[in-house]
Amino acid sequence: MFAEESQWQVGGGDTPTCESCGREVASVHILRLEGAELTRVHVCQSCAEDLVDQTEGTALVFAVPNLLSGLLSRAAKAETEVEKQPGEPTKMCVVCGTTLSDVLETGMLGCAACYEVFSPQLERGLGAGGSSHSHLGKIPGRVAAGDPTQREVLRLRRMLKELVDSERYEEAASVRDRLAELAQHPVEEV
Amino acid sequence: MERCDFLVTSVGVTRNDSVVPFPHVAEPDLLDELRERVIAQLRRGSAPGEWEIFPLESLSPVQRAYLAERGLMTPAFARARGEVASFGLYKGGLASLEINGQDHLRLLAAREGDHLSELWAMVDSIDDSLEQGMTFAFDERWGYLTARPDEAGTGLKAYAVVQTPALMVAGRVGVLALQLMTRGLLLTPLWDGAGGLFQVSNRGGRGISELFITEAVVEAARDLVEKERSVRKILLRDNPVRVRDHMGRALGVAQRAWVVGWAEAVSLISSVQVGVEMGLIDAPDLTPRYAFELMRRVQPGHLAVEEMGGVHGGLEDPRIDEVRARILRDVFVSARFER
Repeated sequence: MFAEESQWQVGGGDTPTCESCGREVASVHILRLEGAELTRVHVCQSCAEDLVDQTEGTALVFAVPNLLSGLLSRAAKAETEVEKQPGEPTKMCVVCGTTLSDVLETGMLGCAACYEVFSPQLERGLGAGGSSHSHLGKIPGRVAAGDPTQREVLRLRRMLKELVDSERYEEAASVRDRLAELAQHPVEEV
Repeated sequence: MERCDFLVTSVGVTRNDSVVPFPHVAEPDLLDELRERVIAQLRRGSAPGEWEIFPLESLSPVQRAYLAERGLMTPAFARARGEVASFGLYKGGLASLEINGQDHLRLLAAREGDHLSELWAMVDSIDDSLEQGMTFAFDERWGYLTARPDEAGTGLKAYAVVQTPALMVAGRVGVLALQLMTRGLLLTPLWDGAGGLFQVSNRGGRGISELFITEAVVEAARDLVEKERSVRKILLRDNPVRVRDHMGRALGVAQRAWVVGWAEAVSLISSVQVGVEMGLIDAPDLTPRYAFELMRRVQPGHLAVEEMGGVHGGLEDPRIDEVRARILRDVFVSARFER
């Protein structure tokens, strides 16, 4: 019964660009039925409004599903141009092996630790830096009650990010192993 | 007599384990161990028999289609192969749980009418129970962590389905969808727009609370229903012959056809039902909710399970279109067009 919220997939990590203005990221996919003619177009929000206004028939509007990969891709490219040296290896999460290229390709992260490892790209792509985007919903009871396992997991994830950022991969691997160990043997309450 | 309502509301809540990688990259043995842990917790946290658990592979395409048609399984999970995926049914269908789909866990619940708050409360309670035996992936800034980072936050998707064929005919849905998008909401055609049915849902769940999400979806859906009422009046006032012609044709086909495809059936039922609300067709029992139940009943999975007695038959069986037509003839046999 759930509707498919998208009718369009952008593969291969392409950055979807508005087909109308050619500048902005395309965030909207429009299906237009005018008479017997069905056309599809992907455009930015601003161009979408003009296009829908001009449609003499039915215009169905869908959100671009993997807009994220496009936004991340733009953020990553901007970052690369400034910071990355030629031949430098791509950033990778040592817990699950997901690389930045994988994230750009699929729009998906591999594990919870990826949120720390790829946080600069996520923040640029999703605008996560502002306090207005901080989490306001339900909090797991264990976090609220100060569960020792949860606290330790959060601490280790932050440590993992710092180690990956400073390219101390051996130490990062031991933190990864400690995280895996915690899944099997939670910390005992003292 | 003219009235219009939410046809169905539903919720989906996504959770992941804090350590096991997400399903698309995790090793199968890790996912299998996680699945066993989840099932054990379900058993511990509920009365005997409340949860029925099925390996996904044990469910036939017809059974999966039936569950997806009832809002108890997402289309993507229904299509998945998933050797380590399982499906849980709570109290015979009040709620359900997908294990190892795109994310580790996705709780679902759907009910006819406006019940978003109650559905969230029920799923929230199941979520609390699951958490007793698991450590969910959570970050104080990002919220609950999901495989797709744009879905992180509350992990909650709330849906309300409305019947707005007049807005569709008047060419208004595109503009309204764009307006809703700027408020973080989506207006998506349900069943490819057949019958003018649309689903309102939240786009993401970060930086907002569950209460805000459910209230925003309900408010937007109510606003659409009000607009639909206005446009119906305008259409009938400005184009009375066209409107009567459309309703009359729909009723005629519903009463006389012997082979009807599903999308056509949904359009026919919707048109006749709107005709009843406008006072053009006499069929007193055809309330919006009964019409929606009828639309669901004539979906391929429902016909195969409920009318053709087969859970392993094919969804492409041509007899399905004949059974669908018979049901429409039976339901609309006494309906008549007001002159």
